[in-house]
Amino acid sequence: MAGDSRAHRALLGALIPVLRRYFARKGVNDADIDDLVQMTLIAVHERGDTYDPGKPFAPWVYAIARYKMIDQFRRRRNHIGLDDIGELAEERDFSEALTARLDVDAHLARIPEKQAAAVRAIRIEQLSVAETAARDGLSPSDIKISVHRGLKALAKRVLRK
Amino acid sequence: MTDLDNLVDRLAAQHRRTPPLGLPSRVANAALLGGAVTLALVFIWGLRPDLAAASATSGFWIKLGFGAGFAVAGLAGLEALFRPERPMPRRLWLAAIPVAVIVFAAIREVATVPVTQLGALWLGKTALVCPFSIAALAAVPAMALILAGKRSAPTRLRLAGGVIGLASGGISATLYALHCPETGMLFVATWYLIGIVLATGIGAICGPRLLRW
Repeated sequence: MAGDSRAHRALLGALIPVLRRYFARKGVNDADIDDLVQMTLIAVHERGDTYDPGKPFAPWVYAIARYKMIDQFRRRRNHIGLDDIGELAEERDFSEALTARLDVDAHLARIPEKQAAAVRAIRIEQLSVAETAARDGLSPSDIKISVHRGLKALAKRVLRK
Repeated sequence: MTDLDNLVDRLAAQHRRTPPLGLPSRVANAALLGGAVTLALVFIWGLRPDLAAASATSGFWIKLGFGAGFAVAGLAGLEALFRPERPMPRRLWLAAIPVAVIVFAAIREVATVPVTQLGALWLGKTALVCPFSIAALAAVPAMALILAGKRSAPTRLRLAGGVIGLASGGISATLYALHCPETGMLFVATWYLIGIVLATGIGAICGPRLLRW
């Protein structure tokens, strides 16, 4: 932060892969990683005077990266307070997958059982239509129709909500 | 990839030296600016008529020091809270000093003043106005400190907002003491404290919305 422009460029450039790895490790979608890296680099550049030269540099950068990640996360689910989310973020990848799973289960429980079973087999367990048909003793076209109707019913439920 | 490289080029091009005291001086400047405007408002509102006589009493200085103690504690805390690493703002403990001083002064007052006069000292004539005046005046330094915060990197926004309220309430109470004609230590211990707590609470409520960066 001592003001040499070439050193500054080298520092920011060196941070790019470090930040990418950090966000990837935290379970950020590939599509969002570069956005977050960009926001973090700008913040590091603009808010350099919040770095205390007497302290280690890495925790400062990670703290900014973490804030930017939580801020983006919060903006998308604005019902969670920023203060609470600090602790949540630590287990974010885990809890996100879990919530998604619970949501899917809740919705599937509310559509006809045959359709739900077909959607689960094809879309979640990734079985082929033939495998599912053989497993459930139904015809392939029956399975396809059930998946189709099931997804339609799910979409209706989710959109209505 | 190239987008980020471009960004780095652009940022490096506009890079200049970071002043080593950037953050502390930004907090101090905001407090001074906010304090100056608040002082001007208190002047317009009117100083207490007996200011010269009052300034010879210890009670007047305890009143001034009471607010100032919170201001110093709050500003010292902000110096930590405006950094991103979630440090513990240990210096907030300084706020215990004005509390201890006023409790001591109030106990002495209770011990020396006849019981029949204590009620009048406690409520004074402005008990209902005082907390709201202090909280309202605190909005001025709070605005300056919020701007300083937005240009820094706080990550605990609710706590930082609360501490901005605390520091602003302290600044406001200090300057309000130049206007306020009350002399009771019980009065200060109650109504000044409520005003500062009110400012702190409002700060904590607004912090997450106003301090985002």
